[in-house]
Amino acid sequence: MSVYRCEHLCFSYKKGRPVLKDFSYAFPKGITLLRGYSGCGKTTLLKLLGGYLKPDSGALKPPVDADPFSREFRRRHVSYLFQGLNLLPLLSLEKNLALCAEISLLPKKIWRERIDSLLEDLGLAEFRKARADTLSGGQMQRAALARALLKNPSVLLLDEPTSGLDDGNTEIINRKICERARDTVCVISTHDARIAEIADAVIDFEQIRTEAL
Amino acid sequence: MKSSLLTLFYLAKDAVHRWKTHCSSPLARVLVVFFLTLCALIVLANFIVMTSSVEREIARSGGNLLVVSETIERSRASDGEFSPLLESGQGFRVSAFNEVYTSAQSNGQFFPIAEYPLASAHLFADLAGGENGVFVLPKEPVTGAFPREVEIGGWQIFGTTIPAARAGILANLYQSGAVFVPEGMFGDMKLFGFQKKTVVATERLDAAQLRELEMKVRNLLKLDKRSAHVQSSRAFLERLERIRRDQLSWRIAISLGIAFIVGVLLTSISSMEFQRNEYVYALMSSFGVSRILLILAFIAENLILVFAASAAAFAVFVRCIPLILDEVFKVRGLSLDWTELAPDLRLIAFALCVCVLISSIPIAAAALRPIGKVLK
Repeated sequence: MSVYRCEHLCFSYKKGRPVLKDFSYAFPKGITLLRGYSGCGKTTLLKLLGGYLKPDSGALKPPVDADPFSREFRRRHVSYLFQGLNLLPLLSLEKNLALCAEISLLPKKIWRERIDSLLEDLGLAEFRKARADTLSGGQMQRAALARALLKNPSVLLLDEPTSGLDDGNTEIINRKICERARDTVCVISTHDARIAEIADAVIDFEQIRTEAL
Repeated sequence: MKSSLLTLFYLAKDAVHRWKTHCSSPLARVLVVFFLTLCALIVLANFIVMTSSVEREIARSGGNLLVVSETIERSRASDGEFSPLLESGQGFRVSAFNEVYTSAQSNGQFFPIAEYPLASAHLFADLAGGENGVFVLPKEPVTGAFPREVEIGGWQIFGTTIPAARAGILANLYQSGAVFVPEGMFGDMKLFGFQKKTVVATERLDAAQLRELEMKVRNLLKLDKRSAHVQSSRAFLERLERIRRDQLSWRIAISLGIAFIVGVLLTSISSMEFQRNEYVYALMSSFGVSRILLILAFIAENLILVFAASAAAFAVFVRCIPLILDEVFKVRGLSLDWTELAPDLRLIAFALCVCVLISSIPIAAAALRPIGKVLK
């Protein structure tokens, strides 16, 4: 199974104001881009796919044999890049990645190599010992992406991975996503047209959602 | 395992960072627990010391004694034996004296003469000297056992003085001094009758034991058809017990009251820290860290603060207790019985643990919130 299926998903933060209603879609392997206006529910859908929110009704069928709301799923099978980046501010960049890798139960030898290569490729090698709260916005964004790509997940969910970044940084991130995300179900929520070139499919989320509603 | 340790390490680092940046939170927890625990210990110590002081006074005035006084008239002078049923048993010891109706003289002072049977010789066993078995309990306390001349029925003999430290129940029975002679030494002294004193000394000040003994003695006297006067401090001990029972309720109330205040404080601080912890907990959960581990980490943080503060309060209390007894309670020469304080310490520790658990409820709520509603 290499498809992440959403079946008749309904979700609302407040009663009577549904964000998703009877939403069904099968996200295939490869990069799927979600586009739509701010507040149309793209992030909510990503959080549902990551198991971080529970739908009011409907079913989520991830591409792996795991309950999408279980700790095991979060630990091994899903990686999420939050809009807020959410690096642990008191740890160095390297330790942020190492902690995440340890929690994901990756063998030390593998994660060490992956951290070295990711930091090198994303141009962060010289900041590996720097505390996360001392990094610039672009560096933080690349660091958060490195953390998301570290564990080779089955489901990769990226929320605005290039927002506010210059072309140089965007190109680095695009390249890295292309390299690592081809064999996973990768869903990216973005407004950034520069990322469209790497997508295998682009969904007008606003349209799908309106049809469903 | 390693991931849990690393997570705990990060949470510890986060806690220390929070303490540094918002020092009022740990300070409030530590100072309130410290002062409340210290106050509780002082109040509890006051209770214990006051009770001990009353108990000591009762013990000093022979509170553990039951004295049966029986007048043996001239006609019955030969059948002065008390019921053999009353023998030393577990937790008490029986001694007997025959007070004759004549007195001894020594250094111009008059003393009652008490004849003691062989069964009561244990009272004088550890006194040096006294080859003839005559002992003198002087009116004024003496420090050593030394020979003292005594005149009994025209005979000049030497008796051994009983030092105050070793007088024990004899000092309680004969507060104006006495001369003790072995039974039969002066055979004709009892011919005119005598006063028989049977003394039951319990090992502890125990109202229940004394009550039981008193009942037994009265029954024996009834069975033997003898009329005697039975005297004990049972009533005082019963009152002391009642005071102790009342104190126990107060001691429990004080411990629980302090725990309640600490609980309210910790819970309100936890509620205030809710948002700061919520972010870290949600982030950790998004990586797959167990929520139970996160809650346990918070409980450990609070336990460390609360018990560090309690331990500090206890250390200060231990150091200052002689000063507190002397200067605050004005009871010089008394020391605190730690075994009596131990149940209160256990109760305070238990109640504080419960408080810490209750105060973790807001944090548990934070850790259980859906990750997607916390992280943006």
